[in-house]
Amino acid sequence: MSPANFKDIVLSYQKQVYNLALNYVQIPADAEEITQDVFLKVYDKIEQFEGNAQLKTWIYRITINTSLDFLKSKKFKLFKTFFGISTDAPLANDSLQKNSQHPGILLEQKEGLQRVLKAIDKLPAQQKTVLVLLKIEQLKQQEVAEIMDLRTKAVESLFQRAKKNLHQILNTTKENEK
Amino acid sequence: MKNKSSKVAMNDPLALLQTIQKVDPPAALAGKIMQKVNQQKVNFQKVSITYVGIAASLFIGIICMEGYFIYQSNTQRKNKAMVELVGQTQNNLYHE
Repeated sequence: MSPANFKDIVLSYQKQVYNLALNYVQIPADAEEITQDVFLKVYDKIEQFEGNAQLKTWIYRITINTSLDFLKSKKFKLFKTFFGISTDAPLANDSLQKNSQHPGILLEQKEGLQRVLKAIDKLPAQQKTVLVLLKIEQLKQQEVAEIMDLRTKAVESLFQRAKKNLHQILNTTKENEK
Repeated sequence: MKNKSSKVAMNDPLALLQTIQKVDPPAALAGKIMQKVNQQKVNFQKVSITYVGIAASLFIGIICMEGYFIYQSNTQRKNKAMVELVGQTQNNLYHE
């Protein structure tokens, strides 16, 4: 693929990728890093893209996997730093410890959203993805099913479980604060 | 973004999630991505040249070894022929 054609893809999808990554990591600098990684992967694998799914869906999948891997590696780095195994420099912008720096959060909702986002961070990866795609990205269940390679019913059941777990986590946090 | 009253949103965490707005990525992001893509292409070419160099060195090495073995076997054959030319001594005494 020529660089000019690829630049068109970057310009068309960078907002989608950046916002989705931001919804996972909550820190603009990290979302920027993930966006760059995603497009490098897309460039590498574009020849392998079979066109069975839409390009948008395929890029969504890559973004979700890259974001989850990023969070996993950050958790692992934090673990290594905590136990003194790591010789790396301490994490500067740690999305796992600091509050959300999401620029799309309205000031009046910030406090409430911090709590909800922290609770979402404790959910299993698939439940977290369902909430991000359905509620923040506001995609339809059918689209989410396609992106996650699941049936619509499975998405619905994942969503119900995520909702239940989220309420439980929020209630536990509230009780602990009292 | 859907218009929801903040009161409703505060009570429902899922409604609260819907108030998160989409933001524009940094203006320089596309440029950075294209720079990385071009850099990756250059790196790939560099790696390819390295691999070609290694393969060529191995090939030359194998040819040299082959030459050495051929030379060795020729020398051995010559030595054997020379040995055969030298008369063999016997321990039998002459019958005078």
